Amino acid sequence: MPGNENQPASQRPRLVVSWLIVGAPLAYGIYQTISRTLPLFGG
Amino acid sequence: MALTFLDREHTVAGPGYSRWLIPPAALAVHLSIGQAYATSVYKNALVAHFDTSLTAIGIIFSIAIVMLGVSAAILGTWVDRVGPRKAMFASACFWASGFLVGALGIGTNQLWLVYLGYGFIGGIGLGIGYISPVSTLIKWFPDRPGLATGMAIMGFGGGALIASPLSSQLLGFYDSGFNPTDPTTVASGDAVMKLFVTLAVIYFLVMMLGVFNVRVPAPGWKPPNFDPAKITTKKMITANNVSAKSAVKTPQFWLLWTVLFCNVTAGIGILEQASPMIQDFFRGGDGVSAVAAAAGAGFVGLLSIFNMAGRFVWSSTSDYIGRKPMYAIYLGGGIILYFLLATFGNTATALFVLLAAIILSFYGGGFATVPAYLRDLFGTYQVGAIHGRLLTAWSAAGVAGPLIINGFLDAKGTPGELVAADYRLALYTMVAVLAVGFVANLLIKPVSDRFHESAGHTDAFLEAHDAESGGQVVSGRSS
Repeated sequence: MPGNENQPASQRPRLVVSWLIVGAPLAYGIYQTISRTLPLFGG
Repeated sequence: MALTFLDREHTVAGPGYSRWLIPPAALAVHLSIGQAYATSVYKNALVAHFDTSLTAIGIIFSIAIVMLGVSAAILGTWVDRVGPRKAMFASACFWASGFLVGALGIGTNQLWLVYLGYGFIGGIGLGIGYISPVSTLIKWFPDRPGLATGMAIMGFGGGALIASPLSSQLLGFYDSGFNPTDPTTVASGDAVMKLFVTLAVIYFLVMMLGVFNVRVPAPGWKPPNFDPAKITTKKMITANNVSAKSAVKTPQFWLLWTVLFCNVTAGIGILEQASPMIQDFFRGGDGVSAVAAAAGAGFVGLLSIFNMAGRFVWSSTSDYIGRKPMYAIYLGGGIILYFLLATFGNTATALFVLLAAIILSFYGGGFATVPAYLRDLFGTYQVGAIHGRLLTAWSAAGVAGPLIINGFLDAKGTPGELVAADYRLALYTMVAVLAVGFVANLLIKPVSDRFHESAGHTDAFLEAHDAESGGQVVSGRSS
């Protein structure tokens, strides 16, 4: 995963921001979809 | 020049550039273009706005998917030659322009403009965007190509998970009379137009993250502690390269085309009718289903998650067990699961959901593992272009899958009013389709030496730019 190699420290903020930009919307999408599946399990 | 950042000297990574910046670059593109599978959110709004049929609106999506296959097949060689950065930029321009022209069509009440915009122009953006990061990821992750391409292609599945709720909420914001949770309300055309403009801006900006972050590794770069010799001693992984032009002349290409076609056709068989299917499987003698409509919609959501997760999990697994065994599991396992679904699926909801979810994870895995399979068979030289040509199998399956399932079901009645037995023949046909794919996979052997390129042809991107600069190798640097 990011950061497990010997990368220059200057790249770490860029890695964090880049993964956040794609990871946050993906987490939002997964959360919304799981919420929609709850009726399937009687929720 | 303003666009010099697209040039080669800005695209080759300098020493120490983290390869972990490449997957988010690829995800930025795939999460954006994955919106193509979230069009159902505004379908009814467009039907009402243009006062036309669902079929006429469905054509927008069909044009986009056909253009995805066509542009990936035709422009794949160009993508390999100009590199990922220029390709991602072109994809962002086409994808965002598609939304804007589509918005113009909605605003001026001209449906043909929506066909041209979202369907044709946007579809080109889909095709270029889908293949743009593939060969770059494979070069950065020669030790784990399945993991790398799985992460990117997972984004295409994830894109719909984001776009669907986001679009619903934006439509509610732009049209106060529209309630996203109430299926009886329909958003106005004006709201959909504003949604298209908003999505154009958002997706263009997100895709620019990919454009600015993506790099190709410098010539000779390899990951720390990676020994290429360990990989290429495996029988099914070549150390040679095959051009896209030669690849389509090999039986391996067409066997793999058949494998992908069969896997996608079978997956679409469930995806196409997922919501009515689960309700029909548990319909009692009184005609009432034990599964409510809301639960049916939840089932579709669950399948989307498994489709997305399968892309990452199974493709990563293929790095350890090999590509051919992985497809034997997708197809052989699919045969068993489809048979169980057709025969015993109506005995318990949990069993039905579990079987369908695993089948959909195999469907997603099939998409994500195929670039690594191509790398194993044809090398890295023009793997993006070969992948582009292979995606015509997806377009063909997109036509065949719904035709098969709808053909059988139409003869029985209307999905949503059927019972489990009415689905059996369609599902057993999918078992046969998977069996064809299983055999095709078994027949795949290493590519004959006569198709291999000479030793100098190893990287289409570097080769194209060396030719332009008169053979001078431009040293890489980060920017």
